[in-house]
Amino acid sequence: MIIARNHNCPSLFPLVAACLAAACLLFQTHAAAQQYFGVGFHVGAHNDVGNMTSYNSSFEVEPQTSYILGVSFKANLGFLFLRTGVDIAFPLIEGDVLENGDPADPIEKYSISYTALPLFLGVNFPVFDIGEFYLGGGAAYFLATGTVTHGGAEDNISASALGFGFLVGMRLHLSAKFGLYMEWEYFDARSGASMNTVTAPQAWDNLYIDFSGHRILLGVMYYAI
Amino acid sequence: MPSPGGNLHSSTHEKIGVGNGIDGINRSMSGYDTKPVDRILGASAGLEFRAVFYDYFFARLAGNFTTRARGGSGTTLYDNGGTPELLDCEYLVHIIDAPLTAGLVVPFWKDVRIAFSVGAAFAYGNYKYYFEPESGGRYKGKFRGYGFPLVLLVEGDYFLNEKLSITASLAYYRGSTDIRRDRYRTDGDTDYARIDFTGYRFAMGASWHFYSR
Repeated sequence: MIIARNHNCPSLFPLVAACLAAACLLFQTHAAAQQYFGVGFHVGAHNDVGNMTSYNSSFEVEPQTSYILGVSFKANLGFLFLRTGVDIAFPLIEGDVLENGDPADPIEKYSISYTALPLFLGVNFPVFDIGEFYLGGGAAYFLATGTVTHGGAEDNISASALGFGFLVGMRLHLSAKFGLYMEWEYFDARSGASMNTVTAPQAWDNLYIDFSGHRILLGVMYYAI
Repeated sequence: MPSPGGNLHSSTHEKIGVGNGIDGINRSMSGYDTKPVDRILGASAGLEFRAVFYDYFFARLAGNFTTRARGGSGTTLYDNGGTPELLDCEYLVHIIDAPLTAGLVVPFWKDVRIAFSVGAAFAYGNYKYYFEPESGGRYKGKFRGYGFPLVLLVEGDYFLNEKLSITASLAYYRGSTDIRRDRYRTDGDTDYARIDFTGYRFAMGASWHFYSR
């Protein structure tokens, strides 16, 4: 068995996709997975937005927790699926640096909202006629805005990042047109330096937004086709 | 595999005022032509052998090679005696690992099989970095080491026919090398780092089932 984990070869992607699509057509499956195009609406959560303790190990942090509202689009073709969508994350509990052991980086509070545009490619595993389990890898583009309070002043921050990760999902048929789905997403994504918070040795931009983390989503999907 | 090797922190990072390796290496400032150093994305290729016993029991041995596919290079700033100075950065990571796991497999009709397994891997890492200040000179480090990370694995097979299946797998590794000493001994800079194998690995591939009874 040969395993490929390359998420970042644009020139290879069409070739791989074409080979897999050809495999779909060439090989007769025992019981083909349902082919459909679905539109889903979901809510979810992301804990520890910003990963401030990994940014500075001198911080003791009450992590930011965000809730997520999103729409997803999922297309099945045989055993393959393509899943994209838009997720918007709003702070539910804002981040708070409870104890700061680094006097040169006086961050006190932070609040980050972001929009994620994910794209996953993976494999569907139908579970009898009840639903399906699916597993995919992919990328997401993140756009963030927010505020960071440091040294008594509140500054606006904006940043973007490209991240890579995976998706694990379960879908349960509710009716011929509707299904319930639950997904676990993980992305590893970090922006470049986007804001100055340090007072020494230089007043350069040092703070980045770390979008890495787990997201749990729960939603309802309508099978449009 | 995102971020192979972990944050790649070493004691030389501390000398340039960075406390969390590649994560904190980026600085930018008006008037300086910096380019963000992205975290490394690893691409892997591998082979695996699996055995299913008594329909529901599963064992798997694999071998993987992972190398840098994206990220790990750019230009940042460091404080050179009170003056910001550009610093070109390059990180390189290669990992070879061989996970051995055992667990349970759940078949759904004849065309789908989902397996959960746990075990450990032998993992060998090779990590290098180069930092080149604009004013000249070079910091460099080379570290090699092995570890035995814990492995959790979920893997699905979608059978196209009785012999051939498409697979997707998600593995989580947890573990690292011990602290390794810089192998560049002649550059006047002794550095220490560990190579962290912790992280998620997603893979897709195909399996040929060549023996069954």
